[in-house]
Amino acid sequence: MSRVILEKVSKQYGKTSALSDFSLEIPEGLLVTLLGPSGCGKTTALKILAGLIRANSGKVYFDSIDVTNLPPADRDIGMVFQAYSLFPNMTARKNVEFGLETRGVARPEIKKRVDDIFEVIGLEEHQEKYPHQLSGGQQQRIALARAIVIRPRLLLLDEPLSALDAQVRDQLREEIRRVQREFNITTLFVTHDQEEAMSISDRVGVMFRGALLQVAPPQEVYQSPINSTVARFVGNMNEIPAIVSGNSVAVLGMTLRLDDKSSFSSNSKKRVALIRPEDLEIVQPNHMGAVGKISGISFLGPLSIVEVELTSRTVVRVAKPSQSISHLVRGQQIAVVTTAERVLVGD
Amino acid sequence: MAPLRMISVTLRLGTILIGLLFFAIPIYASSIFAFRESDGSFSAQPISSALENHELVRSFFLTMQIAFGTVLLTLLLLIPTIAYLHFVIPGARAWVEFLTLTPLVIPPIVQGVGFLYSMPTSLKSTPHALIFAYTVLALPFSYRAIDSAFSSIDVRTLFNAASSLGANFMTVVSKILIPNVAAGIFAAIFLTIALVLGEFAYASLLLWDTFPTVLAVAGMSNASTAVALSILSLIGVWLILSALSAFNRRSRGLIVSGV
Repeated sequence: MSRVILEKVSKQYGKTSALSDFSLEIPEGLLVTLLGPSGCGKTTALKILAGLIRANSGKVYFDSIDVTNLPPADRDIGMVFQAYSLFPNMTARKNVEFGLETRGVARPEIKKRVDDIFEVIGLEEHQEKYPHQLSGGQQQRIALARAIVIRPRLLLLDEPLSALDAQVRDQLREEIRRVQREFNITTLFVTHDQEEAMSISDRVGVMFRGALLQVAPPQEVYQSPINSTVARFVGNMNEIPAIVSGNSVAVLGMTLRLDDKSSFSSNSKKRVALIRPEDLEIVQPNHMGAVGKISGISFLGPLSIVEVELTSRTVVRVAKPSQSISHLVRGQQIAVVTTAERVLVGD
Repeated sequence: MAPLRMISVTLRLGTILIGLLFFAIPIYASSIFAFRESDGSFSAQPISSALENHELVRSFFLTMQIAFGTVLLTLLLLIPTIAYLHFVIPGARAWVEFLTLTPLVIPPIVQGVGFLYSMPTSLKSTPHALIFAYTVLALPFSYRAIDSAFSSIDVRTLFNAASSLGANFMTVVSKILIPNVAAGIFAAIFLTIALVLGEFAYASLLLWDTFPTVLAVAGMSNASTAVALSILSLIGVWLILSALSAFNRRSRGLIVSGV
């Protein structure tokens, strides 16, 4: 287990900058997720950590040891890939043994460790099967076992769940977290799936266009985004035209007093209020707030999304417990309100 | 459903039967021609006379040497090249594939003359120079066989996975890449051997006595011996195919259809 540091790392592909002055610290034993849209540079950062690609500048440290120029084989890492990466010519057991054999671990020790890891992932009965005889979820669990059986200093997970169906994805996500905690492995997880990032991580790093915008615990990233890009990317946001004057904002027919953290600095004159669907309330139209008409209701199980078209033509989405909105119908006139502490202002 | 199923099974069996007859009838006819004596009995005389023909035996061993050399050169040339193409410059694959097709469109006489002019004098004096010509001639088949094997696996991911587990380059190549493209390599070997065993135009143009050219000459004086040897060659090729296929199945642990 190691503390891992990427220090001012830059990587360019021709004229395109994939990473610029990227710095990240992964504390020992924690699971940090890099979250961002496709092409934001998160996989590039992971590959630089793995040694699979070289950075143009910057340093990589494992426990204050500079590993920037070490090849992947000498970095002592475990890695699980997005694509199924089990060696097709080997059984599941042989796949798991591979990393231990290349490290010259003694046979009895290999047997003990491999037996133990198969017990941990609960696939003892599939040890002698070839990859093509296993389901996608089983293959990724074997790949996880193969990566951690070598007791790596760093575990790298490159969107390992993206090829799986929803149910298997949820199960494996929990399993990754359980195993990561059990072995206390420093882990970097890369994904574009917000739910995945929020549920599995000790810290989430939000990336955009090769830069790391914010690294914080999931709740903090969600509730206190550092800027409007993070606010927009993480979770759903309503964007409602607003007028800002000093430290107050006029939105939804109300004037709300903002604290310093609620308004992101900007030179733009066009400002919008960013409000999460669960932070809007539906009230009778004779109350204060912006009046509108319900244009749709989507039932999502415990929650429902109410789509409201305001008189200003702006459409907002309100998330409420399904039971609490059972009296609402499409076309009904209602009003939408919020409170100051739930509003962020961006451009 | 049952009648439809019956029609489907009948059609399938009928197609297989026609396919079998397509191959079996000429072989049966050739066997009758080669091994039946004038009194209606069968005899292995054509085979024993072929084995007594020292020129034929010598040319067979020479051709096998050339086949071995061609296979070796083909694999040494193609495996690293195709691995490099897949791993480093996948965009160039289409161009290389086009290049490998050229032996199919350039007439053998043009290739033969060009080959003669381009070979160093020291190589022109030995029939083993044909190894270079046959390597080029086999490219359309050998390249495709190995390339499609590489295409069927995710070379980059497997390479990265093995490297991240501490394997050096040679370990990755010998334990991961080669075993996973073995089916394609075996197919290339088989196709190359088959091509060398049957290639006539080049050897004849360049005046070398290989098995096919000697067999053609022998056929002019003793047709039944030539036909008997052709049948034996065919059986030999089948045996090689079956052995390679069985070996490939065992090495991969999979059921692979054909080679």
